[in-house]
Amino acid sequence: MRPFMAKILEKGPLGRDMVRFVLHAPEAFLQPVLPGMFVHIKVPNDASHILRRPISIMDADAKAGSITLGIQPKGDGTQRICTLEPGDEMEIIAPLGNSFALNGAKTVWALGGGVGVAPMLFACHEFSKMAQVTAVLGFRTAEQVYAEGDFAPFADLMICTDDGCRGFNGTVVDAVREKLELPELIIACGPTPMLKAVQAFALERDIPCQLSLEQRMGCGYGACLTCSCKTKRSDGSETFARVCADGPIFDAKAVVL
Amino acid sequence: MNKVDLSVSLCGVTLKNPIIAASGTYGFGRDFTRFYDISRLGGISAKGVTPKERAGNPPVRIVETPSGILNAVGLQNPGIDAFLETELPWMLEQGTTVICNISGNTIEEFCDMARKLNNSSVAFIEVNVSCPNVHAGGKVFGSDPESILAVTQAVRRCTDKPIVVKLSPNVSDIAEMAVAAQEGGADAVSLINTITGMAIDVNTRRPVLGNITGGMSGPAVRPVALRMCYQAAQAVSIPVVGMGGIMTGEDVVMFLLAGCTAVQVGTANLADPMACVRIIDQLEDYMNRKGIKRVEELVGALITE
Repeated sequence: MRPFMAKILEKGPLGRDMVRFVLHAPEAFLQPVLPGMFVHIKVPNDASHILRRPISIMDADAKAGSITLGIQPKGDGTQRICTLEPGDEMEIIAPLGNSFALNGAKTVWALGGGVGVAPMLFACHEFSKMAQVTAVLGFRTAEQVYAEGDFAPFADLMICTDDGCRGFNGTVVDAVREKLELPELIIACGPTPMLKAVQAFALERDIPCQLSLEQRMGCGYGACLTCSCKTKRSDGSETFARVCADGPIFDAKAVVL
Repeated sequence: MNKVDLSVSLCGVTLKNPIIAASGTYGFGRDFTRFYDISRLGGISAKGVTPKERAGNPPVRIVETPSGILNAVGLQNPGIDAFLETELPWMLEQGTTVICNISGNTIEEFCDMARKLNNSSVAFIEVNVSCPNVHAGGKVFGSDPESILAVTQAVRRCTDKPIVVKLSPNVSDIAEMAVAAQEGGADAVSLINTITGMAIDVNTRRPVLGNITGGMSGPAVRPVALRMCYQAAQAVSIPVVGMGGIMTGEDVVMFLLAGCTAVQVGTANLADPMACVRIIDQLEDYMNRKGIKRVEELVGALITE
């Protein structure tokens, strides 16, 4: 594995606040590219931004050698990345991190919030081959909703908005509390308050649950120990794990949020 | 391309080239084996170890700054015994020189670790008197020449291994600290460790780092590091190992010209997993372009008149 240049094939909006890129990245498929993994992108044409930016893989097509990303141009680095156009190249390291695991579950809830909706698409795409997937996607408001059409072939879909402009009026966890039939597995990615609520819900009902965490990252491959999160050992004592290399997916029972 | 001699002698130990992966940016090397053959390195300064396992500081532990980073990992490590049992045997098989970086809160802690390492096959002990992310010990040792002298003398009595004392830049007179290490019996000094810094989130009005302050590194600190290495090299007769914002082969040349015998590459490893081997190639390319046969010809070859 080494960093490589990935040519941008497509670029377009994802709702109001995000940008969708499709990259030609066959080198990434030298190892399996799995749902939950991420790419680490160098900020282009700028030596002053030292660190790469970790971005979840939104979808991947091994046959075409392409990877789809959903990027929110929030800070200066991601804004610079989002100025790239089709035909330009991104310098990336991929794929990094661990992945969601179905573990034989037949029914899955894929819960996404905001930027965290993006990796849920890849998970739904893969898991729908072996399980029945319900995607519950949360946004602040209707204009931010994205990728509905992409999810449709792979999952039963429920949209939630905080302001009630679209779909369920409330949070993703509020929405799932109203569902009668519990799944065999919950996977989730989103802001920490959402993950905390999902974790509490899953632990309360003893449903296997995997959470995708976000943390400020240095290297992205495990060396610098900066993207730590608190985890519980089997004896109950607490320690730190690396979000980049031990995660970003953690068992809800093992992670302290 | 002509073959150039990249090897350097550091305290009687031959490094195949002057590029050492800096402690705290390279783990124990395992994470880089998926990118390249780490035997190409001149050496690895292992993630700093302490007498017992340390969990480190609460997140957030890193933030980007203009042309640099701030980190506050807080010496997360498995402890010296786990290092000796699990990590060191693996590192010794990798075909590069192994340096063990140690950090203690008391002189006795430094000595206990030095004694344990004396029976191991590490090539050097790097005595970290300069970590800015621990509240006791290191900070005190590294900012006071008498403390540096005392800890170096004590470690010297506990081991026959070459000792490299890693100095803090958070002092008013770096040369004084380097001289103290030399007088204490250090075989070399390494510098600079990170410069204490801080970042604030103006939206939340809170410090970004969980530890409030952190250690700054990266190209932004390079001029400071270079100046301090130059001053230290002028003041001592033992070798100086330079570090601070080295990103390219030509950056290495600067540090060698300033008087460093070898260099450590830190932050660059976080930006680019290939950084160390790219830098080795760039150094070799520079030497070929300039017709320099032996890298040691560059050490201290700064022209100032």
